[in-house]
Amino acid sequence: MSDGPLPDSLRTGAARLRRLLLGATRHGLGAGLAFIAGLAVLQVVLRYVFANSITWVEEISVLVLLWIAWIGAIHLWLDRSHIAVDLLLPHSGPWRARLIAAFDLAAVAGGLALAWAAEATIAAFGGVVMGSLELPGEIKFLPVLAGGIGLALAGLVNLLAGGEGGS
Amino acid sequence: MIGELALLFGVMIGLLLLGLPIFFAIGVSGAAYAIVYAPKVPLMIVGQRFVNGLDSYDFAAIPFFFLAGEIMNRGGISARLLRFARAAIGHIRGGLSHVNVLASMVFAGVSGSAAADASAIGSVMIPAMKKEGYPAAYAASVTAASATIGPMIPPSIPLVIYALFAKQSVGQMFLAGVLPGLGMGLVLLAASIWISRRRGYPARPWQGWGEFARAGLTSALALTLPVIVVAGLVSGAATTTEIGAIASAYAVLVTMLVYRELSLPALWEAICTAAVDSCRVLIIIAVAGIFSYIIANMGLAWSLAKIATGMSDDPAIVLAVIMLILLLLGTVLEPVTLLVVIVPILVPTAQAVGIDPIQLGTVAVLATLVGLVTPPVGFLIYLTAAQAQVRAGPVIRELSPFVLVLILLLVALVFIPGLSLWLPRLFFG
Repeated sequence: MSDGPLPDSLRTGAARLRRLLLGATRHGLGAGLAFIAGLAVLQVVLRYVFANSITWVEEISVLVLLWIAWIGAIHLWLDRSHIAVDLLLPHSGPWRARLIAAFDLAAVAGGLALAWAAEATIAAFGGVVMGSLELPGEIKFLPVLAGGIGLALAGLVNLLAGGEGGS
Repeated sequence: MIGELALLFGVMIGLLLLGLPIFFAIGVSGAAYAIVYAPKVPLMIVGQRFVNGLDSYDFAAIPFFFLAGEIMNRGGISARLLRFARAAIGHIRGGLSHVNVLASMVFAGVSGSAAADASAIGSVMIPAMKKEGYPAAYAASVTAASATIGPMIPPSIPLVIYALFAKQSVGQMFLAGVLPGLGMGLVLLAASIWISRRRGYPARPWQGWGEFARAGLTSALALTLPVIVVAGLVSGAATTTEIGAIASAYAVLVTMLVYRELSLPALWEAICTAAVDSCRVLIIIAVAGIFSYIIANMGLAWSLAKIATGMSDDPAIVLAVIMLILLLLGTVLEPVTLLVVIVPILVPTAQAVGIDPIQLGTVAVLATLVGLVTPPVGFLIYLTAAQAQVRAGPVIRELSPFVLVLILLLVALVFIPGLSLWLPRLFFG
């Protein structure tokens, strides 16, 4: 039996996808943090022990940090654990579920708008070469594009899965 | 400018009050401004500012300090620090209440986050205090109040954020946080002693100098962490980010090789948790880029500076007004939002009237931390109330003397600049 307008199979599938995405993003974030922490320690060791250093550590670390922030935004939306001001929601009674659904709809719309803005930025920075690694300039804006698409997806998955918690 | 400000802050505050995530409210208000005042902020700038907000290697220090605290917490450090605090002051009347404050003070040296402090200390201290007959609401309130020390004593995540946004030295900010952080511990201890005497809370027997020395020895490696952080920054041996990474590596070495309480799977869990926790802060910093850009283009800071200089030429008076504004805003906004959205507007204003930005930093951080323990949204109230299994109302009532002494200390920070500036001047000149 379905207790809403969506069939149970769709809700179950969305809830399973949410768990899968939460696990994947959590481990991805952990890997990103371990990588940049390892690089920073390696840099200090190289400087003081071997009087040498790697030129691209900061450049790569900033790129990874940007990915961490935007993938983290997707993870936290799926988990409904972003920092928020809890003034209205705890007292919204029967409106609570509708408000949460409205937030998820806002994430879908906001995520798509963000992806659109990021795409415009990527187009504007096409052809620019960046830093000592001479990476294409638009590479820095890919996390925002991914974040926008991911937020829209997270909002949609939460809408379909229903409920209040991801993990 | 009034219309522009009304749109920018109106949309942001409206969405915040509705309960949307803070990063989303900031981002949408910036985007709404870009749409309404289209030629001023082109679309490609919106995407660019969402990157520029975080486009500095220095911000990597934030997840690294989260990581060091998380590893230390999971590696058995809380139990050692509590043992040390018990051995030091557990014998004074109301001992467990004072132990709670002292443990938070020493835990502050390994963690830069109030939530981590409240979770680590509260999970052990609240049940222990309830078992010894302390009211559950009091146990929750003393845990919540003392958890605010964590983000003031280095390593401190709010001080790093302030330093990066106000373009100040992180090393100087960390040094500036030492005396106010210790001061927070002392005024909270004083309040705890006063309440315990009035209510006749129990005392434990003195455990002897032997136990004090043993407890001190087992905690020594953890207590070395803040020394490494401050010494590294003051000596210029490494950047803030590198110090953060070294602190994490040190935490791994101590908890895995010396304490032997952290397994590899537990380390991985600590890394993942620290990464997720730091994202809550990093994403707000990232989207705040658009906000800072709009505010800078409006010239709001310049206008505020003119108003401030016209209001009074006494830096202490202007700083007191800033303190009141932050205390008021802190009741509904959490520290990171205030530090990335409001404080950058206030820094030029403060400098225009001769307030040292380092002193402003300690005042701003403490004022925003008070918000963590004041209703309606102080999240430490709800966190510790849940730990103690009581309603928030009694916890808020029990918190009032602690909040009062923290505000008195804040007033002292405003009128006695030396409390914030003495140590940075001693080491940096």
